[in-house]
Amino acid sequence: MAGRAHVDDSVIERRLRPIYEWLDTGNNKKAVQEADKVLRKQATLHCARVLKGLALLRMSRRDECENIISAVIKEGPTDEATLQALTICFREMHQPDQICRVYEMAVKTEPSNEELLSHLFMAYVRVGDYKNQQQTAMKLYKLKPKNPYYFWAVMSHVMQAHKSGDPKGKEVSLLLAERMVNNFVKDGKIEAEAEVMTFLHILETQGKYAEALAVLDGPLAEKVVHQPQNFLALKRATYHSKLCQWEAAASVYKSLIKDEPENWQHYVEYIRAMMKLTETDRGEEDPLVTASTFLGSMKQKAIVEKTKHRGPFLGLLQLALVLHQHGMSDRVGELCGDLVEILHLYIQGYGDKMCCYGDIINFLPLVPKDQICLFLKQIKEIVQLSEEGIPVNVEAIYRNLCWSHLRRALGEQETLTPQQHMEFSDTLVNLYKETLHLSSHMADTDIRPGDAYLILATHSYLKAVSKCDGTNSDIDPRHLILKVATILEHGIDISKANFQLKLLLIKVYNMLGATDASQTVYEKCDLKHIQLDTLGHILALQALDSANYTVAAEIFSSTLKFFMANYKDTSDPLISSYKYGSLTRIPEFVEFRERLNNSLHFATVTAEQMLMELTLEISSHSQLVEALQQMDIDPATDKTNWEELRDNRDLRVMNTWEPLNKCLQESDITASTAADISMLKLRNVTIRLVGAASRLGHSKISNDQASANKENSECLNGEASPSADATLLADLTARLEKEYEDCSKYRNCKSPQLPLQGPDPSRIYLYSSGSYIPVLVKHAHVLQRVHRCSHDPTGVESRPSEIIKEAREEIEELITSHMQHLDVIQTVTPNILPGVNPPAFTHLNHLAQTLGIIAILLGCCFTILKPIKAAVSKRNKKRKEPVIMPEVIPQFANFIASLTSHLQKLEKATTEKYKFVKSTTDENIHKGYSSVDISCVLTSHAEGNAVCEKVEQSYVKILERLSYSIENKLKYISSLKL
Amino acid sequence: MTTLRPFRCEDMFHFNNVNLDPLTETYGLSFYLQYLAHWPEYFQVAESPSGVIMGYIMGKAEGHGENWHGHVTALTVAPEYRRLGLAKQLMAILEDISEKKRCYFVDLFVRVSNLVAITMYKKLGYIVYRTVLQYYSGDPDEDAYDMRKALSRDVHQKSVVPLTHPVRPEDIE
Repeated sequence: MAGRAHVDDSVIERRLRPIYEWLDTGNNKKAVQEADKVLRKQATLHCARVLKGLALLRMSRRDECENIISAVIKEGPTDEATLQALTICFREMHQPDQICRVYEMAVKTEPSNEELLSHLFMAYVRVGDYKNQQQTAMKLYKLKPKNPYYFWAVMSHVMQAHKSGDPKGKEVSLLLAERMVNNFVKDGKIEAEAEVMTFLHILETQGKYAEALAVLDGPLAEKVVHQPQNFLALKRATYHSKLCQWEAAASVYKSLIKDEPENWQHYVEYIRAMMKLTETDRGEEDPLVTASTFLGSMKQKAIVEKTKHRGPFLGLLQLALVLHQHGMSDRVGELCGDLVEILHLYIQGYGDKMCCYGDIINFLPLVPKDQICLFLKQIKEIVQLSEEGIPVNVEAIYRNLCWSHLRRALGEQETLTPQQHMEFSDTLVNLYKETLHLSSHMADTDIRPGDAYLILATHSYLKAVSKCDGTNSDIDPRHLILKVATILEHGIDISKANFQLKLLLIKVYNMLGATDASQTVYEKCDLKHIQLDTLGHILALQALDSANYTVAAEIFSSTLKFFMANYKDTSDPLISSYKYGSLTRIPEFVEFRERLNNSLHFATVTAEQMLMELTLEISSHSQLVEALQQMDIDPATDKTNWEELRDNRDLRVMNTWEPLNKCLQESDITASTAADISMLKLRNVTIRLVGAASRLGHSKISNDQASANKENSECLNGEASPSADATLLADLTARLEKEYEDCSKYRNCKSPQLPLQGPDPSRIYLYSSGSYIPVLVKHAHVLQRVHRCSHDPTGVESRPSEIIKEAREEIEELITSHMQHLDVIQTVTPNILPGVNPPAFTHLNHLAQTLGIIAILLGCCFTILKPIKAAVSKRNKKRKEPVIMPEVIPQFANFIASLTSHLQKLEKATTEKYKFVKSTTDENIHKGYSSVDISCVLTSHAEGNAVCEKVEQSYVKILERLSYSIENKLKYISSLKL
Repeated sequence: MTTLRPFRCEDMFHFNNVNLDPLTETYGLSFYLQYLAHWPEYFQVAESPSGVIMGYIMGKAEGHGENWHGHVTALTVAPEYRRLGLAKQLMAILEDISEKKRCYFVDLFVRVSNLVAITMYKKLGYIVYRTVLQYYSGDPDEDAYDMRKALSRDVHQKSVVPLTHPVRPEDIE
């Protein structure tokens, strides 16, 4: 081998070791030096060269790395160390397909090298090339007949089936897989548990449950030895159910209930099977009576044996629930007894546990309306209260809370007035305060039993806030919202682990538009990795929309980092699944990876990050050109997989005790996802529009430079038909208009009022109601017209005067109308009405971003027009007689001049607002807060001050960012003077 | 009142009510997936009747010879489901699988300050085998107890004779 001529392996290893060590410690420079040292002794050594390449890659010298490794690859390396190093390089360059190519070559050189073949297999796994996986696995099996290799091939067939969209192809692949396993079974070659599991998986996927049952009944089942106790029984019961063998299924579930009386899934499935049996069986005994007797006996047994098991108490309630759902309510009394009594008994037994409410929530609709009052009274009587009405111990707190939650859930508080809501909340806060001493012994990491008082109180306070506008009621929502924030801060300070309080406080600060304050709480939640997807909806885009670009950038950056790493993070475990034989998890891993890849939040943050980069700091056209080079926008295609976009938000994490019909509904979530997708469509087209516009500007520069050099070029480049870039821009403009049309249902209407626990209102309502998109479209038309005009200055079609005039009117109107949003912003803390600042900030952010895009479009016009003007002036000088300037040039120049003066006004107003807020902050906090009594017995004035300060500081920061952004637009646009 | 079942990838999309607790670490994807790939039977989740994740356990089997043992990597229960014996049930599954894998013992690490957990493990038959100095990094670093429980294969209970001296993290295999 050229790469390692004549030197002993151990010597090589010794020489390479320091390079690895430097790489491991992240000292890439040293690694390069060390590699050079080795290469001086052995210039051709493959591995040293690749490792040098890797170090260079990590020093962001990708080109040099590529040169080195492509030279090595040409020499066809086959040694393990070099190939591994190449694998790392390609992984870090995000080119996993190249790893396949490298190993394919190596295998060609050494076709009977088991190690290399197995690496090739894994390389295919990484890229999901199932067909080549399967062929490689069979080659391996022929080379070394080991069972795992054979099953790698089997599983590759299964994965081909999973991937295949065509049902016929799916069927064939699965049949092939099944036949392969069957051959092995016949020859008695099955050895491991993993093989049996794979077999069951194949049969299940095909719906061949009878065959799967036969496996469980046969000798293969004995190979399943490492699974949990109930594994085989559960499989068996599932198969019986799938085969509609309800009696057999029920019998398995029944014995599972006896073995595991606390495992709830058994009850659900047992009752389902018994119900099915009623529908099909006409036997002597009524299955429902059998079920009732059995579940009753389980309950009795639990009572007699005084076990801690909760399941047996709820079996009959589940039966009642299912009867209700099947329209058989008339039999509930006979089969299940008095439901209210069972519930009462349950709460008596378990009301002192925090989970009690969650255990019974599904069964609350079973309480008859006319018994609610009595039921609640009974529950109230269980609670041990002092003479002052305060719970006497921790158990009593939980019982008291359970009662409060039930009151809310059973609808007793639906008709409360804002005033009553507030009074109720005050009572709860008092209970919190009066019972705090009962948890003084608890560790910092525990949440306090009384915390739920604060959560429930917050729900009620916020109801009061949302129900009154501050004009004709005794409640001032402005003071109330600050009071809530202060109480929540106080609660978090005591119960540092209580994330429910944190999530609520983020919502409260968001209502004030104080996203910097939100971020301080967000940081306490310590969201990481997948939580950036599932909980990203609590702050990321709110920060952007409130023009808090610093916070948005931070969150976007960690979010995108997580998603980018997804592919890499999930491919190694996939390989492990093959290695360790957990083959049946592979489809699940692949689906998981895809679900993350298709996350709507990922797509949204990607788009918003790009738009933010394009519209925040750029203050000249050359900066834009630079930024676009980094961004790699493809205006021709949108890579979003719209059909597969997934809403991964976790919208069930916040506590709620509302009646079931007032909770967040599936339909709310679906509607909010659809609205968010509409927004994403607008944003994606806008980005592509920018990409297309800049191409137009640039192709023009080079053409113009070429033509400007020609002495006698009358027509600028002789090409009359619009270029492909111009067509693309026209298409995208039309596309943006079309997408905007499609949003008409969101325009000028209020977003639906979702429960507090749900997502914030979709952004599309406000965005599509402003004229941001029409103004963008108009400016895209201006660019098109200017471009056409530069090609065919005399054509009637290309006269831009009208369109420039319209654009100018529209954008100036947009700026003028947005000045009022600056006035709307409220910054004196005790006087801020919740819900007023967020839309004002959002309007201003949209204005700033729209201006940013318009600056780019005008910048592109400018790059087209500037050479024309230069060429004309040049000719003027030469001929010593004036040549008439194309009319577009003065028109454009006038437009820029006028727009600049409007922007100056906006910039001045924004900056003044910022300076004003900054200079009055201290005064506001000091004077404002102490002048109004928003305190309650729980929190001190100092705490209230701290909240006000956080809120005030948020506005300072937001206005600072906003004025900075506007300032950049002003610089950019005013630099476009022809 | 709990459904105990194997952990699935999609559970990660809604395990926030467990993982938002500051004592429960949220790891990178590959961490969870490697456990699912390597020791899927050791990764079990407890789910409430309304589909809320109440807690989960992840573990592994490792070691050679008489050191072949089950290890609890993470055991966590959401605040509202504590003190219901859930951890006990999850531990029972892990111990059962370790028995089936013919392990000699089960071990786990716990912060010396986490008295609630230590008391619970003691009730389940675990003893403090040794102290590992500064095992948890932080400000300041915190020591860990390495707690063990012998399984039936360790007939003479050799694995649970406590060490008299603490060890450093680099000395544990």
